[in-house]
Amino acid sequence: MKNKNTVRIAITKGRIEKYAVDIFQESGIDCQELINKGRKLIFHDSVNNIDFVLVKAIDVLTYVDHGVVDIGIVGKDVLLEQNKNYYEVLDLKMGKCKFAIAALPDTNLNEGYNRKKIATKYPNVARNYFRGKGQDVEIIKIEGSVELAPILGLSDAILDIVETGNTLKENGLVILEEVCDISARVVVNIASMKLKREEILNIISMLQNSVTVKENLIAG
Amino acid sequence: MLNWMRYIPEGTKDVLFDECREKIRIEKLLRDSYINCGFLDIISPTLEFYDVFNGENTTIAQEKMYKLFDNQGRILVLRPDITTPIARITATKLNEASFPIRFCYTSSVFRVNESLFGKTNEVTQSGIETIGINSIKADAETIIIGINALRNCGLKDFKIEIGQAEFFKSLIEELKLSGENKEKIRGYVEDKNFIALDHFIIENVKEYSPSSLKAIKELPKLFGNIEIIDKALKLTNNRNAIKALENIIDVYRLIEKAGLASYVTFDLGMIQHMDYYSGIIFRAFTHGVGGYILSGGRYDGLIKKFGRDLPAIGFAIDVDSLIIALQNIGHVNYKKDKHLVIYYTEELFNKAFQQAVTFRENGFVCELSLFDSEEETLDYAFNKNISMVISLIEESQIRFYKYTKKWNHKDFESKYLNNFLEEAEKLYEE
Repeated sequence: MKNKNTVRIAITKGRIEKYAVDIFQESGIDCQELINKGRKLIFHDSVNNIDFVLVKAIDVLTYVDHGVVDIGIVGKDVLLEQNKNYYEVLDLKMGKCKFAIAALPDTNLNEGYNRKKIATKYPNVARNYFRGKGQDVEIIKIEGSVELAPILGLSDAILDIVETGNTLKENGLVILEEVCDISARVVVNIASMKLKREEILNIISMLQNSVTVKENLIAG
Repeated sequence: MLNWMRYIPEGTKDVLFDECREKIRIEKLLRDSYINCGFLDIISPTLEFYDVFNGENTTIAQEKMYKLFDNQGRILVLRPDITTPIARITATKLNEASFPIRFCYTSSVFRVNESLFGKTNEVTQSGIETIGINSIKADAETIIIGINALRNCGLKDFKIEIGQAEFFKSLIEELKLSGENKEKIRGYVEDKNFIALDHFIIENVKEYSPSSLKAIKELPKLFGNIEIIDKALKLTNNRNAIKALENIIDVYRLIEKAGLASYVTFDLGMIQHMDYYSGIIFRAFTHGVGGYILSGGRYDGLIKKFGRDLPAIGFAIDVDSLIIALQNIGHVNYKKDKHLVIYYTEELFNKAFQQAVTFRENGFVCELSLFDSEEETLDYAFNKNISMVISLIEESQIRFYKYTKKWNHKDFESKYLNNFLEEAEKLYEE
């Protein structure tokens, strides 16, 4: 059984992991084991008594929801797509990008009476967005390279994450509408927040400080 | 077509033997905790009309209910909750009753969860409702019984956190916001996202009284021990909000006098279902279970929906989560019984039967062998990890088998039956 006072943090593998490690290091949390990770799955910071695990984005909330990890670092895109219980306590203001609707040039989604098709990796986000606009669309779930769908004629448009816009440009797609901004967030299991109150609030405030420092650097 | 004969639906579970026995034991411990305090058992139908659960202050989304049709085409649901049927019963069946009435129940509730995320769709709930009175005593009693019920099951390291639905409601009223913005603020408070809440308030809240704004901004941080209630009192002069806080303090004083203060924490940012709860709200957490194992509160508006205006408070314990928590602390009782098998020839059935009764009366689990040979019986006992077998083959003699690396035996005369029981006990102890 895990030590009651150890705080477990699940970090999304990949892009967010790099940002998160930076921000943890700046906050004074030792991530050496995470940087030189080898084949291990669990990493430890003995000074602050924190365990880190690296998991795929969509698994972060599953672990947090069940309380086997206390804190998750995960993109807002995942939070919007999955409907789970957690406290969303902090915006790390990094890994910034946005959800957007893109299509081949000259596409008009509001034209005509035929039902438009939207290809996406994020069916729930797409459904909520178009429902909010009062527009009835057909949503097609695609697992990767969503840009292909309109090019091959599977869909009229796509809803996807846009970071620089380069992938869209290279494939001849343009942004029609921006849906919302995305960045990495800190989520906390609801029971952990109460049972490990001091430890978790301490970590949040450490992280918040380095977010503020970073923001001021950019602003200043 | 694929045949599903050998499978069970997603989110359901077969509960076997030790696990099943433990579940029944826990259910009984919980029920005893209520019955001893004067609560009355109730069983409501597994099937109810959909209309019972459909309405303004419903807490369960339509898509979370299992629906089916009756023979006249009306929509039925597998009950997704037990409080609502109790409200229906109270309003329609208890015209002559004298209130308050205390109910208790242990039943399954059914909810459609997203598949493959490790949640079961049939959950056993054990809980109580006290109907017909709105008082500090009733509030405190409900929480105290909740704490004691969990303790009676052997759970020690848990927290029950108390909030008040009216606190947030009365503060947000003052901000004069659109429904959508109210909902946003509720979301930030519930998420404990104080940073986003701050930003949102700076940008969107133009009309407010400074005192309620200050309190709302602090809300996500207002959780912890009793000091946060004092802190909250200093943040606002909204009369209803202060009344809500005083309600918490009064209830807490009683819990404290019951010697249970150490289990209690507070969270004023707990909102849950804003239109459902109307007073004190609470839920319990423990290590190793991600969600809450108990949740409840005062819901004075619900029974009115069924045509009778009566205040009510109650809670439900998620028995399956509680068992997981107990397993985590190694408190599950899979203790082995004193167990033996009696083998007999048909002529001696009468004797075997009486012998078995004597053993059972003396605290043994005693099986009568279903086999026609001693050898098969010994094999059976070995395979089931039962280390004692009694063999009745002759009228005047009893053969006692005991397994220690191999089957050893000893013969007794039948007339020593009583001494023999002691012998059996002694051998068992070894």
